Amino acid sequence: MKKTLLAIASLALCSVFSVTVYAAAPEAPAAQPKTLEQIHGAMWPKSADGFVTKQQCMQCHGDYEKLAKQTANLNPNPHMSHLGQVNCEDCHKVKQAKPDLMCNQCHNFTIRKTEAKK
Amino acid sequence: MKLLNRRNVLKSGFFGTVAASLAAVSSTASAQQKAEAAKQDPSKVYDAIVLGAGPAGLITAIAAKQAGAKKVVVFEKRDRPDGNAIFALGSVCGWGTRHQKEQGINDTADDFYAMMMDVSKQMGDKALNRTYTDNIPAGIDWLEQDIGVKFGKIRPMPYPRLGRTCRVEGEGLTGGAQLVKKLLAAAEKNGVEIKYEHKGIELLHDDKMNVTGVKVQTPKGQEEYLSKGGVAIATGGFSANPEMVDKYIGGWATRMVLRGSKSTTGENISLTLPMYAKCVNMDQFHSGPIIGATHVNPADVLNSGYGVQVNTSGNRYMDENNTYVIKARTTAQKTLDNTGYVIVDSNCSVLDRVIPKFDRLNSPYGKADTIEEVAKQVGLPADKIVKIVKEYNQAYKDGKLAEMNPPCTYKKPHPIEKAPFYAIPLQGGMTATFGGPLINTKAEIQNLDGKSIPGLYAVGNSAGGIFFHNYAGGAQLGAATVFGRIAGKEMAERAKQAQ
Repeated sequence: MKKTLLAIASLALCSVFSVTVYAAAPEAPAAQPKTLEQIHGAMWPKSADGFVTKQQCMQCHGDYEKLAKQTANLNPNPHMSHLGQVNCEDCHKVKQAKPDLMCNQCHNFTIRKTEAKK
Repeated sequence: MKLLNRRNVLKSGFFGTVAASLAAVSSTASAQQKAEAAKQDPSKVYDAIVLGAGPAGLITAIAAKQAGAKKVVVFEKRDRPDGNAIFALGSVCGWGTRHQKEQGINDTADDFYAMMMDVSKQMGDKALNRTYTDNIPAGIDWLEQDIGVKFGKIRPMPYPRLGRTCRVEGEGLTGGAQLVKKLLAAAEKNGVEIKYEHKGIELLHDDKMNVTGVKVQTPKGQEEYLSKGGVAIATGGFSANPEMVDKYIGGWATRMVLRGSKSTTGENISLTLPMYAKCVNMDQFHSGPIIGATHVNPADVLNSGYGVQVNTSGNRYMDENNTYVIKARTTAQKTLDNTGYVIVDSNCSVLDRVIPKFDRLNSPYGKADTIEEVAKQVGLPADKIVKIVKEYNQAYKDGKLAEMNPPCTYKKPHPIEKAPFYAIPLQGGMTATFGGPLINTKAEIQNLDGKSIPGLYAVGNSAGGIFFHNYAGGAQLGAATVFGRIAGKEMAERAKQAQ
């Protein structure tokens, strides 16, 4: 139970946080943003073969459909890509606060906030 | 260190050979033992095995299920579908469709077949193109009715610009990615198993060269699976395998930008060559323009009939009156850095479509009120570019564009005169390879003796024979549909007979 609550808490934190860091917001963040490792703490899943699988992440964070809704106000929407269900760690690095956009391995997007259309 | 004499060489040669033979025997025996063991494990015996979870593979698997195969599995080497289709607009080229009828487009099988052969310069396999023609109307109906694919209105496509391409509605994705998404859902609904991170590394066969299964690399190690109906290879072509591109097409082509998947690495060749498959049209592929760093597609400018095209040394290197396919290929062939620029003026009629794409992807281009300035912006030698534009405009006035070197044979040329001027970059990109193991009209792979390899099928871009030189827009996914459905039925039938 305690674990579930923790997971929900970290999910909520992460969700709010991810929107902030994804967007090219003009205002500077007040505090030093936390890395994923710091946010998750002991909740960071154990890695298999050197990386955490998307299945592990989606157990708490929901599937891509849900994630795409959460970031529907971002253009382009990083969770609704033609590549499909990429591994979360391809963008979200454990030691970083800000994701490396996998899209930009081929493209060069600046993700912008648009009108919320959740 | 021992000195080698003739006897030693002979000895070591002999023992080396014996050792190698023993190793080969033991590895064969072990493979056979494992195959026997797999036979005992019903969870590893299927009615049909498909390699690759792109449209061709998923269609094959669903068709096999619908034709009565009980256990069907798709092995996908990546952790998600990652073939060329997810990068595609997602068009399916056909005739006699509901869409043509509703839009009042009259078409016939013979006209369609003639177009397919014309696009391939009469070099495509006639029987395969006839099979495509005869089966595509039912294939498109099936995609709509069984799979739930939504097609938009038929719109003119690049050459041959006929009303034959049904465009998949992307619903927020590329049409191709949406098609794969729909096929994945349909595969699940039809009870097809999909195993990700399972890469086919070797075909299993009996002593009569009947394909009996496949050895698969998984994160946990290697596993062997058997199939009663056979194995269909749907792994795409080899555009993302530079060694194969160099060997079969040429070193210059390895410098082309991949317009599609990084996962199409030629398993259609490497898996089937040990079965003595006859691989055909290996030097043939489709190309198109792209910017490597951002993947913007500047094709509209190249097809607009405006401007001069120069390399990074500031020289014209080809007749501008060519399609974007030829321009992309020639840029890769004739420039070492696979880079060119088109210098156009503001009259160029497609800039309002192209420039927003560049801006959205922060993709650099030149824009200035003088030719000199626009050349400087993109690092071209300004004096040369000014001279070339001057010469072009003079030749335009004199009606002597075709006498330039190289000639410029625009049918309706335009001067380069109205500021601001633009320098739009381009690089040659590879869309897909056309070469692969030759199939027959049952999607069976042919061997070098002209016979079908029992139990071995190729579908989609894995298969060779259908395309040569070029393809009609939407024909790659069309062929995946037609031959996927055929291979699925064939494997289901074969599995029934093996009961």
